[in-house]
Amino acid sequence: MKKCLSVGVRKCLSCIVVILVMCVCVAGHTKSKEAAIKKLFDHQMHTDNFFTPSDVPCETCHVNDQYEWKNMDRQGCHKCHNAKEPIMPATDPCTMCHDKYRVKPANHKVNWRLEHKTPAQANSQECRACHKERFCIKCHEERNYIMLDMHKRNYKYFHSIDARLDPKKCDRCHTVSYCTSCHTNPRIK
Amino acid sequence: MIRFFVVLMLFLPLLAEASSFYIRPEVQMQVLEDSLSDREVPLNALLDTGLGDLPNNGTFDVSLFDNRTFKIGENSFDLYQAVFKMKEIGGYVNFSAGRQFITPGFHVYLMDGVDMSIGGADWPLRIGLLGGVPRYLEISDFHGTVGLITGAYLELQGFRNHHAKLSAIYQRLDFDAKREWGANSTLLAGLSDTYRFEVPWRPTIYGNVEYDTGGRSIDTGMGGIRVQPTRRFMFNVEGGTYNTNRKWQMPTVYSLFTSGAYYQARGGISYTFIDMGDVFEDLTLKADYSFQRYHIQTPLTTSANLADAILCMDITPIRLDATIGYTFYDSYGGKAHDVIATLHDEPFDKFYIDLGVNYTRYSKITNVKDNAYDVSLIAGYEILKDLVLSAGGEYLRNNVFSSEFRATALLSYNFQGKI
Repeated sequence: MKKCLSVGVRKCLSCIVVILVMCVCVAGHTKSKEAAIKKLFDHQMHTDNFFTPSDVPCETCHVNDQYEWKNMDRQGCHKCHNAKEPIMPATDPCTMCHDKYRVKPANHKVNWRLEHKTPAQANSQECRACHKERFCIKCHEERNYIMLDMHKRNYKYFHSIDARLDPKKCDRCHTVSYCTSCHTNPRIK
Repeated sequence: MIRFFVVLMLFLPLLAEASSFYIRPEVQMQVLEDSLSDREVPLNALLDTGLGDLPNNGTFDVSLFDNRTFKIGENSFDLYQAVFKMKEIGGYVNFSAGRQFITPGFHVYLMDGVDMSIGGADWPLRIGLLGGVPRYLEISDFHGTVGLITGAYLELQGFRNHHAKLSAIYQRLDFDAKREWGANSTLLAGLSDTYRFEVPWRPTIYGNVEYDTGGRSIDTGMGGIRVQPTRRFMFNVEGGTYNTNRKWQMPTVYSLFTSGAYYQARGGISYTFIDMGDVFEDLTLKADYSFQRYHIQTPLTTSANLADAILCMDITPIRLDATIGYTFYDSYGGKAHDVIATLHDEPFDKFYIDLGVNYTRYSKITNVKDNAYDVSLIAGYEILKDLVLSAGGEYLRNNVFSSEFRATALLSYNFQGKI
């Protein structure tokens, strides 16, 4: 009876936590998207200190008379900070903007996790434009059982089904000794 | 600990030459309790650190991982990389030495060794040589006779829209063992190519052939195409055949479950419902399907199916990512239905929440039928500049194996700057 109650309470708690998190998120998103953009890009500072003194025309960013943030030329920042011969080389690392404003190439949207092997081998320079080797290591090598990245925790219950579905997939990161370390260990339940 | 100081000793002399530096330590601690009230306390320490702007565009990167599990006393130390790199020495030569992650054209490896290539920025070709000791963290991170990997590669860099790599790699497993071709040593030959058409739909074709001369097997032979007919819609189809060298003394998972080549066909689509004209905000549906057919035991064949559909919402300006997905697995090992929902949100400055809900229903060939539940929540706050403290919990339930509760605490720091 005590165990049933405990399981029941835990299940209720899980749902309550999920609902509470949703409430916090909704409550927190009162600020506008424009405010978030302005926080990163200080228009006044750029205009006063750089654009006006250097005669950079407004059309550099405001193409086709567009003044809403969503219609800006997204190459705008790169034109000055990350071009081949930049007017003002980026003083901060790429993550200054790109960690906050994640950008993803279009080809990453379809099947990319399964498909990336060939492009990564044939054109690793393109990967290095955004990623360092540490990014590859995170999935292919890192053995972190506290914060799981590659598989969700439920996966251990049904991994035998997936291993028979596409066993080549397991070989990309694991050796057979990884299987035997549990399957031949009497302490593993 | 000694290994840590060895790496540190490599680091210090370079420090005087560098002008930029980063360090990202992270400590992860968890207390987990299963249904029998057994407790365990695993502790992870991760460290990524490095130097930049060394002479000849040099960098030095180190990534370490240390795990302690106090109750059962299992410890592990992984060195993922300790690599010194120089780029465009004299305008032409790239060089890297140390423990490094390499993609020589076949599998991926951690290698203690050297990789050197020559090619100008405006040359269509780059020629490289590599050699060293491959390391498998699950077998032998530092010790043991794990053989040799050495080879050469030729890269075609954007010539007429082709990016290609032709490689030949000699691999030997164990120097103490008899040199048996195919079992203890082999020569691998591979070619990867991608070609992008300069037409409005932007189709890209790609292919990859890998041949193991020792096992006389085509490890990989595949080709595919990715097309983007409109800004919102994209699809991809590919097919291939795969096999493995079954004489090789380091068996693969693939060789355990199959007895011949397997054939795979795969397709995927993505459609963006809400597209704000840039990459900052979207609501995208992705769906993939793959079909496999292979020999379990010659001449018996079987088929397997994997299908998934995921709806992703990414509202970057307010830093909210949400996904809900469904995956169906079907193989001779059984069937599984997996539903997952995740949320990453930063509703307030310096504060984030990660929420994950996972439900799986499965039936296995062993006649085990069950449901598995997993709910996890982590919330973090930047208590000092670049120092984030996070805490959360995870509840798992599975009728056959266990019921677990995990409480987690994380402390991470991220410094990157000029010296």
